[in-house]
Amino acid sequence: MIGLLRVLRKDLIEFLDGIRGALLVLVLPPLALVFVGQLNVTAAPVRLLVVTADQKGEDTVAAKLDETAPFEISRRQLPAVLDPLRLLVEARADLLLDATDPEPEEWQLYTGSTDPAHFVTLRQLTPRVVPWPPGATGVQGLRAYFPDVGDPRLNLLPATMALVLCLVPFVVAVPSLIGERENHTLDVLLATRGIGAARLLAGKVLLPVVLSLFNLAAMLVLVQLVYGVQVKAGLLDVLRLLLPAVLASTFLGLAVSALAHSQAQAMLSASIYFLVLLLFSGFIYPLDRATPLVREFALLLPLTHILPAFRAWTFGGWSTINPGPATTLIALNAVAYGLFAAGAFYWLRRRL
Amino acid sequence: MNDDGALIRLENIEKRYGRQSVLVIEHLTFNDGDRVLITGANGSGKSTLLKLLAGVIPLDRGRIHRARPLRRGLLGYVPQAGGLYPDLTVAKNLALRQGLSGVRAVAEPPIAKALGLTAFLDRRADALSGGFQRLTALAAALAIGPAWLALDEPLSGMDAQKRLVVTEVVAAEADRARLLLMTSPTRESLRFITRTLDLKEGRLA
Repeated sequence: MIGLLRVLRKDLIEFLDGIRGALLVLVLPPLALVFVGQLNVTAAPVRLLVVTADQKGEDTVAAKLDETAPFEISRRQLPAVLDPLRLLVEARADLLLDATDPEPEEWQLYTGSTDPAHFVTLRQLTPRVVPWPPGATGVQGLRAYFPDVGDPRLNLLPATMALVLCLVPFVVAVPSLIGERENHTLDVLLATRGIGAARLLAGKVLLPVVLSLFNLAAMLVLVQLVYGVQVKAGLLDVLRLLLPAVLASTFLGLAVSALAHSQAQAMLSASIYFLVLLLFSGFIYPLDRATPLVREFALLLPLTHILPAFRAWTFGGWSTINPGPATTLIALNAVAYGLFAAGAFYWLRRRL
Repeated sequence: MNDDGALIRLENIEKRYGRQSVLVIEHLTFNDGDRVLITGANGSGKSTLLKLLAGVIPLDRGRIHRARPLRRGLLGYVPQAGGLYPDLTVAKNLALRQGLSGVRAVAEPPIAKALGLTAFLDRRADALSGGFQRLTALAAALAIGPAWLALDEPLSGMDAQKRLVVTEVVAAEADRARLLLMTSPTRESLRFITRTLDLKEGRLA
């Protein structure tokens, strides 16, 4: 028994040596639990845009709409050209009720959602937009611009692909520097003519990026062959978002690798990164229901920025979304984590 | 370089680990053709000096000037421990080092034969004994045909026979290289050494 306890003591000393071990094992998992409680605290209202032809139409709609339903209603008069999808995007609305026809039976309800979970919610709420007496005809269903979103077989495909693209580079990068340090091959690499510190760090970025792009290509082929999800036009556009996300994850992995005490610590951090991506990026829980604290924290995760755009692109809605803010934020992520990795690597070199 | 034939010149250098200063050298020059043995007790700063000279770690103060032949030539560096990829075979470790240095890899480098590694080429590095691992690390450093050598305790952990082999091989390489820097905790009596530096608590004795 004493022997067992001695082994346990040795393992504890080895694993918890320094603040990093304690952080990884004792602080981060409970902290994740605290954050999880703040993920699903607010009921996000559904934004309903009602388009009417004139004042009479507005009055008719006002009489028919279920004001008790959880909608955030905005109204608009009929524009010169009625393009529901454009209106949905411009107004950032979830649903658009085209009530321009004087006959309520002809009204149409549209959505341009490319988020599967959100889409399911919208479909469930459809009967509450304009409640009709039993037996009467009215808004019969939801016209979806991207109906594949509602296919439960395909729900998780884009999210999983985006998750893989953020996780793989981290997992590949995280053992690389600490592994070289443990083998003392880092010394050899740094002493090799033509490599040096800057090129070594830059070179360590390449493998995770190449493997991630290979993964992306393989996954796109697979979803096409197995699920019939066609590879859409605009792949280069979406790569402008994905590549910084892959770079950000790679830099983060390299920074952790430079700071880790051992390969075991580094790999543990990969598990925690996986958990954090799953919980706080919008992969499982929609972020618009989370507290501001969690939403701010989510901005630090590359997956948060690529998930909506990648979903939209996979389901064919890329042209309808505006990736502008996401592009800027993910670029900021990549730059910040790049600087972090460079600083951590310099710190590591000083201690070789 | 101002000093005639100087390949490396250290000026007022200092290296610290945290707040502790581990190496302070005011002025030191290594000349073309020098075969230098750096000795000193454990923790005296031998490995730190070698790492600084090899460019592995950054300085905290001062400058190290390297002459063009060293900047352009390959460095055969052997760290105090390890220096190998444990999952790869000896042959792959040698080929990898050659590839990293831009040297064309050959299936069985002559240095492997000279160090008695031919029979172990297909064996994983982590399956070798400590002595053979050190030999492999040395072979990897020499397989690139280096212009200068920085060997951190290359004789440690070796039996008498291997020490003899390594001494012979390093002597032959020293004849070819422009500069040899080698550390040892003891004052080895090696015929090819032309100069000995003693380090004591991070300073030249």
